[in-house]
Amino acid sequence: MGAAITGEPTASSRSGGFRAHLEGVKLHDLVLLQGLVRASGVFVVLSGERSGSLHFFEGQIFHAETTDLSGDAAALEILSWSEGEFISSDRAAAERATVSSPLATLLRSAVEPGAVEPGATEPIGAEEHPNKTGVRRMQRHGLRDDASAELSRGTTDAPTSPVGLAAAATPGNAARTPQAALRAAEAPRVTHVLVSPHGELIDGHGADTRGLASRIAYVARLAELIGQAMGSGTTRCLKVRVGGSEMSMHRHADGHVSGSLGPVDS
Amino acid sequence: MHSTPINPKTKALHSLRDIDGVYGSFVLNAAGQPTARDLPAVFDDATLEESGSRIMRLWEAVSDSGPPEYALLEFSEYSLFLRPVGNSCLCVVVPLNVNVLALNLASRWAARQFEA
Repeated sequence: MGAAITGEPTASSRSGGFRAHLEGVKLHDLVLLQGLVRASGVFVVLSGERSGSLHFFEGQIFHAETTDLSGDAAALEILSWSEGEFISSDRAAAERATVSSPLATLLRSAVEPGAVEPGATEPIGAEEHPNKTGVRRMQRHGLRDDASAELSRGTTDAPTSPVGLAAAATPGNAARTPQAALRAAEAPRVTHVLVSPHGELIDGHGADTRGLASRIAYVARLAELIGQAMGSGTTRCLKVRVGGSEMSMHRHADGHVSGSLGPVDS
Repeated sequence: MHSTPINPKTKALHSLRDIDGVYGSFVLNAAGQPTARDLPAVFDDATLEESGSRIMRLWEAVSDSGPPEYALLEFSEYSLFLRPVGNSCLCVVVPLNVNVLALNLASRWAARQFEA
């Protein structure tokens, strides 16, 4: 069982690198690979009668859709498919972000259903919050090191040799893999957390994730109350500069809050 | 129309309007009570009283590893720029597209007028 990766020439393939035709590779690993090489672009996934698309930006899925779903729900649905094709597409990237969970969380949730809260899912056609794009844009920065952090943690689901897989599947991008490894070494400098609307730590990596999650949850609630009192609308984000560090908090449209703490230059 | 600044502190706050788009500003003491203000009338005393203590609690929550240089709290309608003034907090109401670098410098000057 597995997915084949193939497809028409894309902008990246026309500009250099290899096209890959693989068989027997798990979709999980193909998606993980895009995270490792910090890929940006659209991939169409076909599985029998089903089809969907995964939109990546710098290795993070920021939009996913199937016939019936979009967002986290669509990403999880697609990741549950056991065989099919994974096709690089020239399709334009979505203008709005619908996926709020980092790639590591999605991949883990695909293996362990329930790791992503139901609130993170939405049917197609659901009203989008106007600040969703802005929030997600910030989150993409905040969660930039997810894939590399997964490498540093030695996630059991990851290929035993991610560098080898990168070279085999997309040699054109393989040169970027050492950079990912370098970022993995730097990852502990930055702490990332994802907190549920109820203040529970859903995902996190780095030092003292629980401490940061508590602070993020408290700050997010205070910000919400301040916004209500001052008639300033809904909370989008908070950035705090302390010496050479920056703490940031971003509220997602579905109520989840992501936060990070690390050096200003990270 | 805004009243003419009548004392150095109000004048310092008024100077922040040199930054394009700044709506106004106010200073909260450690208890969250406003001690100076240069704001449109829409931000009345009751509004500042209600939000002041929460702003100071938020400020305290983000000050674990030392007093922040500044904080920018972004809402859908506008943003709040915060920076320390001694034990107090200078709060500037700004549009979402404010020039943060310029505001940071201008607010540093204003803060010094309060610390003098």
